[in-house]
Amino acid sequence: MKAAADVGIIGGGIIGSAIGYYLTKMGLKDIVLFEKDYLTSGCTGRCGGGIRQQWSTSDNVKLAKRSVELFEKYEDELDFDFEYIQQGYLILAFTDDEVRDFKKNVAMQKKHGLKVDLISPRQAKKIVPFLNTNDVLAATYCPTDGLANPFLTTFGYAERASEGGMTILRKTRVNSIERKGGSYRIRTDKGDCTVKYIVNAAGPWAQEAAKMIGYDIPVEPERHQILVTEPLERMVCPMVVDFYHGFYGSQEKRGGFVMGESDPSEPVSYKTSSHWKFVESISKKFTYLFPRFSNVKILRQWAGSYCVSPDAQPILGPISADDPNYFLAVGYSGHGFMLAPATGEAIAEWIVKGKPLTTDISHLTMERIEKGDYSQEYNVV
Amino acid sequence: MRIAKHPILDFKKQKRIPFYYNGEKIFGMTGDTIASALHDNGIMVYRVTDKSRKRGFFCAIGKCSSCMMKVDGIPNIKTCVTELKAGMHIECQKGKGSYK
Repeated sequence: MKAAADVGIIGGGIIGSAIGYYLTKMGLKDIVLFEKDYLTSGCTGRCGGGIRQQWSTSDNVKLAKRSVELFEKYEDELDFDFEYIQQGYLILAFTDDEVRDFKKNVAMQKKHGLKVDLISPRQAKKIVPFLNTNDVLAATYCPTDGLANPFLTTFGYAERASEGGMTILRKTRVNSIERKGGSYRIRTDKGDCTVKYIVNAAGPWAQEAAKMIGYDIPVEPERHQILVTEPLERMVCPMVVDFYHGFYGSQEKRGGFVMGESDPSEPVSYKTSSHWKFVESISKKFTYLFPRFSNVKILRQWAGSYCVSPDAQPILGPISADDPNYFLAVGYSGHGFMLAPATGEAIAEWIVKGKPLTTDISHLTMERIEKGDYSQEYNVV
Repeated sequence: MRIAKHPILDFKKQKRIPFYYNGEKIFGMTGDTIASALHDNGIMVYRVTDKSRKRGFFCAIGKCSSCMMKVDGIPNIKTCVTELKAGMHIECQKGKGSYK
């Protein structure tokens, strides 16, 4: 193992890989990425792959919009087919309260330049002809939202970053971190490495990585289950999101429907086991929304952990004023994959250039949590 | 092709039942699977993959996905383990299958 490096990234998921990629792109070479198992082995490899810009907070909209700008260029830039498709996101409203909130959200999103519209159930039915719109009051639709393959995107980042000089240490678990002068010594089960900067991109295990230098950060792991059906011929089908029943689902590029739900009774845990109750519950929601597909067969189910923050927005930047070189890129609350490009770029700029330049993430630091000065993101499944 | 005589098994004479293959009326027997009835009618291609490769009877125990066809509008039915019923509409499946 390298005895010293400029930056040590903890976590080989989409976030760690994106940050590594942007660091190397900005000219930094001496980077080590520590991954306890294999790339995408945590929550990235269990993610549904949705890319959405329709959020209820300005900060999430800004990050998501910038991310889509970057996703659109990746096939050439990373020279990698990561199965990216822009087939839109259709979000359904079932109550008057939802319609009111959606109107407010759309106005805010439009202010940020997002192409999004509040549409009638009839217009929604035009976009998704097989959707049951009987109880739908309104919907919002953004055609540039989409879907990509989280595995391939991570591998794309990792390959380009490796070419740029980043060392990826797989099967290497970080056990502890010691402060050593102005730097940190990262102790792993394969040896030690002294680094100037640490990036905590440990996803659901972010809290443990922060505890290693004595901080208790307010993020928690939460299991979310998901399944995929047999592949069918490709249809034009945007991701359909239903916050009221707690459902999201879309047809991926290879033809299977990927879907998941939110379960408010899910306790805090690292558990990633699957349960038949999920299959029963999501089947009801799916066949209610898509009655035509009530005979489609389920291929497999799995589960992963969200890293949930108090306001469902990521926590980015230095962990505290005392440790300005320990960066957090955690707490993505189930939308880390889709925010990875913009936050990867922002954290890399912060490290290399002293501050984030492209996207303003000043409201997403630890400071907001400590002061309790934050706005809740509501558009989460 | 059917086995009429078997050293240890008896085959009782079964009722002929009509069904449709790509719109054409043909006959199978009570107790047939869809695949066995098609095979008896000399039909060997059950689906064509999205790479235009023909697929037919293979494992015959519902494992290999080779015999998946569209049955009464539902795609990806394993015809080797699905019992034939009178009046069924069986279609050769193209590609991954659809509900159109």
